Amino acid sequence: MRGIHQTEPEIRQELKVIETAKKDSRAFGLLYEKYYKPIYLFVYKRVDGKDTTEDLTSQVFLKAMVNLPKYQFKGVPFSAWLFRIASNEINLYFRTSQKQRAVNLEEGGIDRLADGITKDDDIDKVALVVKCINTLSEKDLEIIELRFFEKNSFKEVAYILGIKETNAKVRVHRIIEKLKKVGKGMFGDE
Amino acid sequence: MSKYKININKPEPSDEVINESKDFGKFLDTYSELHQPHKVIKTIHRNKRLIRLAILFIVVLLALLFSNNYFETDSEKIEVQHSTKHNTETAPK
Repeated sequence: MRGIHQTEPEIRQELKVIETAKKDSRAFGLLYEKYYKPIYLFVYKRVDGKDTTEDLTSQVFLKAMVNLPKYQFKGVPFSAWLFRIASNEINLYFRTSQKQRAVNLEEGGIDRLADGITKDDDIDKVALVVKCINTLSEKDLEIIELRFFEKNSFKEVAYILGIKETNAKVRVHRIIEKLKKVGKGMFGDE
Repeated sequence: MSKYKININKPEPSDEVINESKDFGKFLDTYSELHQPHKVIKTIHRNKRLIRLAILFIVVLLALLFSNNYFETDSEKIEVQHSTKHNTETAPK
């Protein structure tokens, strides 16, 4: 998600496209082309199966197009608004389908999270992170994914989850404290 | 059994795979199809909350109508009683 970094003129240009798309649905095509891949990957990491990923991605864009007239720029990129819709769609999918939630752990994210949990470099970071992830609730998992594995700023995490920035910071801090205890229990970390 | 299905370094799908499902024309068709009036009615039918609200509204409306009718008929009865009483009183003997 960090890949969608935008400069001021790019944001302004995009806001013009959004305003046009509010009146003319064909203009939405530019946004669809630009964000299809990031949204697809966002969904792909959280669900299993190509068909489900495609269905949910298409659902995200349908919801985005329907709700576009309500969109207002609030200091975060348009992509964060799309990720928020995607996050809601994924949660809805897991609530209704009773399927097992998938988590994609990448090396960089594993290191970042493990370093937050323990300072011990000799431990098996993958085992630690896997163990910790399995103790998290879905809500906590989502915030950890957004912050450590997708490298979002607290502002973006807060916007995607529909919470305040300070609340996002407090929640991440509390989760890490909880995971430190899990780490201690696992390795007897002093 | 673990709570989540954990994938480690799950390979990203290629652009080709992603683009297979990317079709804005088809997307617009789906969008316009879903936004036809009869489709909206269909979704309203599926919405249980809306159905419950509609039933509640009808029940309240019927209750109001019946109560109005009841009062009206009562007042009519009183009026009729009044007029018959008045008539018998004023009728020449």
